[in-house]
Amino acid sequence: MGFGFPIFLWFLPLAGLPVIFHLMMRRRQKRMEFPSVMFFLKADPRMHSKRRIRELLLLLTRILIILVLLLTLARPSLKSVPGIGGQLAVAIVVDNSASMDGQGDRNHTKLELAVIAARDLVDALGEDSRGAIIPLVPDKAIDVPLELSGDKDRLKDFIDRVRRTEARAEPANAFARIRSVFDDAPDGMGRAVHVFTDLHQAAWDHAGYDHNIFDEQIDVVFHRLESPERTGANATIESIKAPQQLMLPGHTYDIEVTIANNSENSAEVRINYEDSLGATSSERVPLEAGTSELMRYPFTPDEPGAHWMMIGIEGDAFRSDNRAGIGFICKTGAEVHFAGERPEYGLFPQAISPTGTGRYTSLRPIYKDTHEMMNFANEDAGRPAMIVSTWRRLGEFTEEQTRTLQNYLHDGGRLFVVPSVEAYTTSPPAPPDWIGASPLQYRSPGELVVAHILDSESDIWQGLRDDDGNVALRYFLMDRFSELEVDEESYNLLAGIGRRRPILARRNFGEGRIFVSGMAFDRDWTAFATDPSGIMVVMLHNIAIAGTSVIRGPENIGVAAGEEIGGIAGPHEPIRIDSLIGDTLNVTFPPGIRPSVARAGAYLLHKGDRTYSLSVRAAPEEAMQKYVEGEKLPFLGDTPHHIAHLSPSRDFRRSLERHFVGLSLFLPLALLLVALWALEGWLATTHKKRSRKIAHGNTDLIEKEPAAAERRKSA
Amino acid sequence: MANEQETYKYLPAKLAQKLQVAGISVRKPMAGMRQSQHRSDSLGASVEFAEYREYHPGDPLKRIDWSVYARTDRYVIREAFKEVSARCFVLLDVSRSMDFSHSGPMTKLDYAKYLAAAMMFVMVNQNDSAALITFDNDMKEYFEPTTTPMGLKPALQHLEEAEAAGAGNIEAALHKTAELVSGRSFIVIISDFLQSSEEVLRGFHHLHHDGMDVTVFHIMDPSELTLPMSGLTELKDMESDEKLTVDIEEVRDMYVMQVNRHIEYLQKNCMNMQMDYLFSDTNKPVHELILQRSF
Repeated sequence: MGFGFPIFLWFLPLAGLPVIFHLMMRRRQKRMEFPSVMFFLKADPRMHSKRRIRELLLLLTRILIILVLLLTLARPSLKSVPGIGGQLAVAIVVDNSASMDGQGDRNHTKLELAVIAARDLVDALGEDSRGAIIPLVPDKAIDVPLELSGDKDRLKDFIDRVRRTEARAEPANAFARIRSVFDDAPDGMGRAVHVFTDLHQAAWDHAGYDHNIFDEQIDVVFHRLESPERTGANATIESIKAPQQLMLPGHTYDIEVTIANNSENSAEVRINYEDSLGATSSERVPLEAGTSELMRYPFTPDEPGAHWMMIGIEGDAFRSDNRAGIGFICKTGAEVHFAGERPEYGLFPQAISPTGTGRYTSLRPIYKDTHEMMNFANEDAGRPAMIVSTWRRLGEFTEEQTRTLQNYLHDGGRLFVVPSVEAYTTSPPAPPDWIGASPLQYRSPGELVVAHILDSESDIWQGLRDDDGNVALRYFLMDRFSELEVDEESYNLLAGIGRRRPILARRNFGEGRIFVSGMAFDRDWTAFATDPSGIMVVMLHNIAIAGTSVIRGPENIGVAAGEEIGGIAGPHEPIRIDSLIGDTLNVTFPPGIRPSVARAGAYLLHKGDRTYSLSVRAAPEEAMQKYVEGEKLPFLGDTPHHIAHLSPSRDFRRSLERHFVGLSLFLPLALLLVALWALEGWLATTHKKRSRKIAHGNTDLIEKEPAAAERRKSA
Repeated sequence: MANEQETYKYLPAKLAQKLQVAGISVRKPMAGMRQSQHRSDSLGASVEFAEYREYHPGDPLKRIDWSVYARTDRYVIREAFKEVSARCFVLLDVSRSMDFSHSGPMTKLDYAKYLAAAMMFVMVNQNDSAALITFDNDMKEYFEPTTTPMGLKPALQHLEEAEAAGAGNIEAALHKTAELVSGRSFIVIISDFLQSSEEVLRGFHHLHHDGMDVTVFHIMDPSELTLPMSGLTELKDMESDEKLTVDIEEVRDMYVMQVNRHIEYLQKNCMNMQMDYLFSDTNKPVHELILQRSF
């Protein structure tokens, strides 16, 4: 029930006036002595009770007259929103999610139809009403302020700015903005929400609220855009991943892209590639229905800084899930801290950096006395990519150094423990217990001993695989070594004389890794160290930088378009997002707001003094042709709402007019008022008319007693 | 007598003057003791022929009707009804309801007192005797019949003192009157008859059965006939103290209808019993009402 002029409702207490008058009249009623009341009682023994009943009926009728009069003046309508003449704040929500890019009719996409309908709705608004345009997917690339405006041209301009996105809608976010708009609306103004959407399952077919979103009665109408069946095949980028490791210039990284055909038709699509170095490629990829294809794109950053890569698909039936971007931040270089002197490590430092300066490899070996180790505290800038220690020096770390080392490992650092090159002359010292591994007696059997690769799946063999994915190195030979005694539950055996005699093993420690070796990387220990193919160099580089980032926490955040970016560590600070490729963005989100990006691309996300690369791919679920059926949306829970079919433009305009006018109760109430008035008149005057004439001497009106009247007249 | 009349409130000289021409006749034979103008059942000397009878020895010869003898050769005596005076008993209702005046110039009781005084005056003035009985629910005062104006003095003085009080019971009063009055008499009842018409009629029947000649004066205030008042009014019954709140406009027609029925019923039954029924509101001059009865 809505009211055009609700101010009249304030006067409803006036309906009590008849009661007051009634009581006053009772107090003021005349009293007189009369010879006898027998004629009254003879006329009607129940006169007294009848009079009381009629009196009450009259009172009730008069109360109703006032009530109905005020209700009539208030112009009620059966709609929950005020009709024409009333003030109304309308939140016009346009679904700009990826699914809305699908075909709506022969000539328009669903989004285009939604825009046309939204413009019609703005035209249908009353003069005193105000509207706010709310894209369902927050889109920072377009300037649509969150405000109520009565300027229809301005509102239509906002509607025209709404563009398709590649995102999945988050209705909760949209309804939060709607509430924000309504909070700013003046008191007494009616409120309504009109959503133009295809009701895609991804957004609406899940439980959102279990209560009424709004504290008050608000008209929520969903205008459903029909989605014709799509016939062609559709390919989508399921994922795009860069290796989780320290990105350094000169190193080559494989970017893995998974392309899937989630339709029932086979497809042959073209995959387009572009990166920040200006490289482009394009290739045709056949995809059977329901299959996926993993594609690797090697990328070798040439210099420090932010880099990006964009993948796009052409040639399928739905375009809004065809793009994905990935960004990464390439560091200037990284240090590898060696505990002790360079000679203790043989060729190891040379494999890390042939020049010792980090040139070519971006890894720079630093040698420190044991007491100088672990002085980088928690500053990212001073944290090495890896700490290398001999078994002996590891035991010399103080408790504080050990604690710092453990924290470093927890945050993603790497520790490699190797024998000292000269270690074979002494017995191996016992390492700290928390390492979980220790070398046994050093051995030099006088003949070469074969150590086999025990875990060919490990990422330390990255770059050492053939086209079939097999590790090119199957074993290596050792002159000297020490078998390791490791905690088999925590350690993963990478190489060994057999599974019971490990030489090289790895364990995870927090976010970081601990590598332990029973073999020093020097020509006196193994021919592997001087292998001209550089296998050891690649392996040691992988150990230094593969797996996790040396920087605390992830540096590369991957999300789908429209997905809220959460879990970013750090204080309560604003977040700024800049674009590398994709939407041109330079937007700052206030603290507490979880940002999202509406389109695929590569972005930089800044929070405090940290910068992350943000990789955004199109939301693949939006390509599914699944829409909410029925008349209720699971998402809205107990919030009253209505789903209407969005009819062709002309019919829609008419239905809008009907909607805003509502079913006016003015005429029925006016008729009721007239009827009540007539009833009141009848109750109040029917008996009085005759009586008044009799009182003035015209007793002929007493038809049943003409004789008496005549007689008295003659007398 | 004129000087004395001036002293009576309810028999002013002006009224007495107008009543000099009035004469009241009765319809039924009276049983008066004195010679007067009203017919009685017994035979006597008068001009009104009653019957012929055979001559018996001893009858005075002068009473033989010789013209009849000439035609029939028979001696017959011409008999005539005896003409006697009437005894008039004026019954005045002094119940509480009579003390009402709204539209009329005086209360019903005042009007009734004027009427009673006038009736007594006229009766005495034509050589009849007149008595006064006041009643409410029983006989209250009784003044013996008198044939002289002086004899009316106590009754007339009482009229000036009498006040309306008590609930009325006309039927009971009439029964008492019938027991009190012996012989055929002229009964004048002056009342508003605010009692069930059936009960009133039972009293009338008693008088009729006893052979009384009854004249009924039904007095009402004009407002009792038309209820000219208006608005919501709480009416208090003057006799029973019962209260009734009514919207006058709303009930007026029903009330008037009931009053008319009451009057009509009394009138019709009085006619059936050969009683004179005269209705009047208090606006009508008393002498006109008397003259209406006279002719």
